[in-house]
Amino acid sequence: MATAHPEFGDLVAPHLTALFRSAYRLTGNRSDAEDVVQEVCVRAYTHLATLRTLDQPKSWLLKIAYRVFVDGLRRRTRSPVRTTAEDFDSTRSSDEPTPEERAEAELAEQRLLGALAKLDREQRALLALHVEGYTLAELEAMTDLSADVLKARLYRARVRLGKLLAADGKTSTLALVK
Amino acid sequence: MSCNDVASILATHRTSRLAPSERAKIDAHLASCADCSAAWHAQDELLALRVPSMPAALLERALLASRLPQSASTRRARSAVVAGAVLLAGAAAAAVVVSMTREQPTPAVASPPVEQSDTPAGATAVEGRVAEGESAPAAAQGDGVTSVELVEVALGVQPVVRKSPDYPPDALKAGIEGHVKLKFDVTVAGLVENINVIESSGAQFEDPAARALAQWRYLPRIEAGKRVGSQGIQTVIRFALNRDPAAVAVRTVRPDNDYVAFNEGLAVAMDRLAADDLRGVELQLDEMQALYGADRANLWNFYGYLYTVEGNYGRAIDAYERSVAIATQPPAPVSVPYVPLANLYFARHQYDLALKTLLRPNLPGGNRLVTPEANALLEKLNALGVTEETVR
Repeated sequence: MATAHPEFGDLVAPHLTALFRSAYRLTGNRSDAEDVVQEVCVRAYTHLATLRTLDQPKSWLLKIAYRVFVDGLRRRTRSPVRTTAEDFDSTRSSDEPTPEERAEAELAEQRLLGALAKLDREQRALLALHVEGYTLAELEAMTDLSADVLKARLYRARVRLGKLLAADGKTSTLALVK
Repeated sequence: MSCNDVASILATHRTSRLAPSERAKIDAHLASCADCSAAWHAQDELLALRVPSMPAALLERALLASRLPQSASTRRARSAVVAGAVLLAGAAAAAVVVSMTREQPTPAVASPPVEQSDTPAGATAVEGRVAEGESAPAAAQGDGVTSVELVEVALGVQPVVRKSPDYPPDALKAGIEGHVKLKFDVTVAGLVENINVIESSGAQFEDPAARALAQWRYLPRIEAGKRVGSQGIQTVIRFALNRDPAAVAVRTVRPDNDYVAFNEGLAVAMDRLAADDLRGVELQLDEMQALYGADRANLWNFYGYLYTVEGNYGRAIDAYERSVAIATQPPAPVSVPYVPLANLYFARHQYDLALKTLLRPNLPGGNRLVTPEANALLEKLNALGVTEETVR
C-alpha cells in the first residue's frame, strides 16, 4: 500500500481493531464507527510527534475517540442525504443478512441500540468503553475523571439503560396484548 | 450487599465469574432493589451486543482521511467567495444526476459515482454533461513542426471532481424531474466561480444545482503550455428519479463513503496542481491508484492531463486511452476525455487516430462529439484533408 505516511500507518495500524470496536460500541453502527475512526486518525495525525513518544498509544487514541464522540461527531465525510435511522437499517439488515434463528437476538440488539441512543453521550461513551473491557484505571486516563466519579456515573448509566430497556419491553408487551 | 457493592462489582468486569455465595447475595439484593436490578440487566444486554468485524479498507480510508482536513478547509474557504452559493459542509462527491425512488419519500442516498463502472444496471442515471465546452478553439499548430514532443497541446476544461446536488424534497415527493443549465467560470486552480443559471425546468432545482456546482473542480484549460482560467463554461445538471426500486436498493445498502473519499483525494491532487507541485500530483495519483485500483476513469483522466502538462505525450495518450476504455463501459459514458486524446493524436500528426477518436461510438445522442472544442479540431482535420471518408 502506498501512502505518504508509512510511519503514521505503522503507529496506528496495531490499534485499529480496538479503535473500531470501541467506535462501534459508541455509535451503534458501522458507518458512524468508521467516521469516528477516521476523525481520530485525522486528529492524531496532526499530533504525530506526540504519538511517536507514547508508551500507550492505544489509550491516547481511545481518548481522542471518546472526545470525538462526546463532543459530537462531525459529519464531514458524509453524504448529506442520509439519516441516522437508515444507518441502523443498513448495518443490521443489509450488510449481514440475518438467518431467521437470529431474528430474536437482532430484535434485542435493536432495542438495546435504541435505548443507548437515548442516553446522553457521556453516559453512552463510558458504558461503551467499559463494556469493551477497559478498566477504571484506563478509563481515568481516557476521560480525565476519577475512579470514584467513573464508578458512580457508570452505575447511573446502567440503571438508566436498564430502565429504558424495561420500559421498552413493557410497551412492546402492551402493544402485543392490544 | 449494598447498591455501592453492586456498582463496584459492575465496575470491575466481574459479573460473569462470581463465586456462588457472592452470586446468591447479589440476587437477594437485586430482588429488592429496582435500580440495581435495572443496572444488572443492562449489563447483561450490553455484553450480548455483537460487534461486527472491522471493514478491510478502514486503515486505507483512515490514512487517506488523515491527510484531508487541510485541503478540505482550504477548499471550503476558497469556495466561500463563489457568488451566491451557500456551501454544504459535505465533501465533494462525484455525480451529476441524483437518482431516487418515489417509494422513498425520505431522501435516502443514491448518488451514482460518476467514474465508477460498476453502477448497478437498470439505474436511470444519465449523463449530465450535455453541453459543456468553451469558446476558445483547442488543439495544436501541427503544421511545420518537426519535433513531435515540442508541439503545444491545448486542453479544454475537464470536470474531475463532482458533487451531486441535493434533490429538492418537494420535487422528490411529487415525483418531479428537472434540469438546470448553468454558466460559470473556471479559475486557473480549477475552482468554479460566477455561477449563473441560464435556464431551468423549475426554480426549486436551481439552488441545489448551483450549490453542488460550486463544489466541483475542473482540470483547467491549457493554452500555449500554461494553465489558464476559462470563462463562460456551460453545463446541464439533471435531476432524475430512479423508478426501479431494485436499482436503488442496491445503492441504499452501503453509504458510499468510498467515492466521497476518492473525490477528496482528487481534490488534493487539484490543490497540488494549483501549487505547481507536479511531482506531488503524480504521487497523489499513484497513491490513489494503490488505494482504489486502476479501474477509475477519472484517475486516468487526471494522469493524462498531468502527462500532457509535463509534455510527456506518449504516456498521456496511454492514460487517456485507459480512461476512455473505462468510462465508456456501461451504464453511462461520463467525462470521457475524447477531445484531449484526439488533440494529443493531432499533435503527434496521427490525424487518422485523432479523427477516429472524435468519431468513436457510444456517445450519448449519436456518435459524434458536438462540443466547440471537438468541432474546432474536426475543422482542422478536415482542412488537412482528413475526413470521415478517408479514415473509413
